[in-house]
Amino acid sequence: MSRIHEVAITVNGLVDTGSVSSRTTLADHLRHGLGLTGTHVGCDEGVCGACTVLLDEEPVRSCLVLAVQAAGRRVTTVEGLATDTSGLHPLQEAFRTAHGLQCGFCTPGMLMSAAALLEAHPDPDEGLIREAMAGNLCRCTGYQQIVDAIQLGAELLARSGGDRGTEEGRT
Amino acid sequence: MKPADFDYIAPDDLAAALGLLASNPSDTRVMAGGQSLLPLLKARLVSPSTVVDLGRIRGLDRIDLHNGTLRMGAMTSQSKALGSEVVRSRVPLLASALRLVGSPAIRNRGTVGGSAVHADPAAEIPAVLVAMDATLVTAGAGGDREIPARTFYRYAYETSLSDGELVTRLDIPVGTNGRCTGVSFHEIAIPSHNFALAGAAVSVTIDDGAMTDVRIGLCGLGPTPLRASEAEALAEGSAPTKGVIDSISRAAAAAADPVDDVLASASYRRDLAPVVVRRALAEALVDTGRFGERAAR
Repeated sequence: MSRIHEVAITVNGLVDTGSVSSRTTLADHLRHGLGLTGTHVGCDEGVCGACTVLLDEEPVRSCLVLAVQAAGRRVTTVEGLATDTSGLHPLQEAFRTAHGLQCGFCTPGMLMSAAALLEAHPDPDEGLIREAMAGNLCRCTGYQQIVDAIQLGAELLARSGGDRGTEEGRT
Repeated sequence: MKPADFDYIAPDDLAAALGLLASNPSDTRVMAGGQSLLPLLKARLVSPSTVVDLGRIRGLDRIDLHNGTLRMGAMTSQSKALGSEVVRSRVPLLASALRLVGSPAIRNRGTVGGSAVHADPAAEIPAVLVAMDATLVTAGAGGDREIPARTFYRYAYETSLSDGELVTRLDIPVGTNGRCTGVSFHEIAIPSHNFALAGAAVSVTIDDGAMTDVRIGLCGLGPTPLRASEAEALAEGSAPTKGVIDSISRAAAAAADPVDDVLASASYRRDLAPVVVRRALAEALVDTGRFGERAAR
């Protein structure tokens, strides 16, 4: 029983060891502990979805998970989406092409929720997209371009054979 | 806001968790999925000295069927419950409710037991437990108990759990089989993944053209989840005509005892009560026609 915990968390494929306090959320640990500021904190109470990351491949609110709870598990943030360090993941390309963002604050969470959706359903219809994205709020786009972007992302991913942004897959 | 500091521990077995809880029950909080507790900690509505996380205890997320009862471990995630074929086919009302709980990311962490015990009056799962005459199985220093859902909920966020007790399992009787049962959970929430302003959980069976085993649970319409018993009695044996459905909706709404809060006034909620019951009952009646598809799965 303790207020400080030694943890090893696999973040974007790399094992990171360090100490966290009990009350530190995964979102704050990613941003302040690891410098991964791609994960945004909007409401910090589980409502807005901006902080969505993948925990063992499932989308979760990183503001509603304690860093200590991620010990021994795999976390993927928006920085880990594209495996090609110089390029974008097809879903990111699609958001750019289809204007799926304006201010960009909600985008990291949108991308992680959408990536998990396309992993489970490579060709979702609009209803399924809206259901999967219902917990991610955007104040700029009115959502239509986000739905468009995810549909385009599904096409780009299918075209690249599901190969997510590797050198080989990005022709 | 950030939580006040606390000791965090995630024991590997239930006995250890109960020991920790018993050693300092008034200043310890049990964490299931944390989707309600973390916001409470951040708002400093609760500031326990110790948080006991049940997340590393094995075996608290089993789902099985036993003598006509669906037994669901309290730590079953809402996503896992929603994806469970046995839940969808045998307790479809719970599946219908789970689709409305939070959003996918919340359901991946949130648990059925956590929502049941948090006892938010707007929550869907407690209304289903009350409607289905479920039982909450508890463990504690004083031994195990089985508490009927209808007596479990005392007031908003207050249950009949004693100090040092926690819920380990939800036992839900499975619906009547071989007859045409339909279900629906209908709620009004703005936006859709927000807490319900008002919601109704309805299960109805059609036997020889008449409604039977009608169950109506309500959420958001009182300090606890409610059971609309008078409306159920009115429905029993009646043919589902428009006039009857309207009478049932009005009778169910009479059970509502809502309060004002930041989301809506009590009078607005009272106006929503017959609307959600009417819609849920109508959808459940349509769903009776799909019973064959579910049974075939």
